[in-house]
Amino acid sequence: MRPANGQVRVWDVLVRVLHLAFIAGVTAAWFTRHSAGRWHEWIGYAVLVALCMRLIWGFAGPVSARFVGFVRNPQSTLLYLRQLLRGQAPRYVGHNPLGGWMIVWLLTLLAVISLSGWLSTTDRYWGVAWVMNLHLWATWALLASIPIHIAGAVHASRKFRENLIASMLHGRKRGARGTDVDVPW
Amino acid sequence: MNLFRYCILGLALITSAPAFASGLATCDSGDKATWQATSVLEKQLTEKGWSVRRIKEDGGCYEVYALDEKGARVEAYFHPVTLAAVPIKDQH
Repeated sequence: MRPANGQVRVWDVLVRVLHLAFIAGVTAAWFTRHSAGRWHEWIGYAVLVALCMRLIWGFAGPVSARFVGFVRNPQSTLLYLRQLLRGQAPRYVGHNPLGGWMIVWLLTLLAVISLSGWLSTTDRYWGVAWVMNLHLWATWALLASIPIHIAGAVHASRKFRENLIASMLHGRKRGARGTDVDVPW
Repeated sequence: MNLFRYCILGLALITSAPAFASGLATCDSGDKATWQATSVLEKQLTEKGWSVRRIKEDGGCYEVYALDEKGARVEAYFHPVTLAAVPIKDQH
């Protein structure tokens, strides 16, 4: 668990690879949304597979990847929000409560988008307006949420003088110190 | 909060007007007052044996989602004044 100089490996390889897969999948799906051929559909199926793996990992993976390890109850989340607004939010070695809920939200949107997309290619739901609109509106919601997700990571990186984006690539973070909230290993 | 501003700007660029037309086909169809009603198109297609699911506008054309006479899914474009079929890039 402790590679070197107080660093801990927080994000395992599957969490990191699936995160990259979502980035690549969403980007590729966006740019093929009106393309000829079935690229958009195959990208959607790939995202759906990655999503299923992430959900399984959220129950069977290491603690830092597990939903019970980072999804907090509403009271703790509100408390964290208040601390954040006062500039007194503690550092979390895993996801902070708002970050945890953002992940749940992003995964939900990915599920809605990929399932409604698949549904709209079936004979039964072909051309059905609500399915197509759900696909569109969930996509706009995802597009609006991604900058907030990134802004949260950048904000926490600045506040605690660490590079969370790099951590999501190599998996390591500074271990818990002082008032930091550790991952419930 | 510079990052936030860049995000808003990026989002504004992505969502700017042309993004809403799919670009699959465009029709030079002029004033909407001259367009035929979608019900006329629907009737024509139904008589051909199509089961029309949805007709909406895209790029000045009528965009139709239907099952054709063989039960295959089709997405087809029609000129809203002449109701002539407008070819699109092969989708599937």
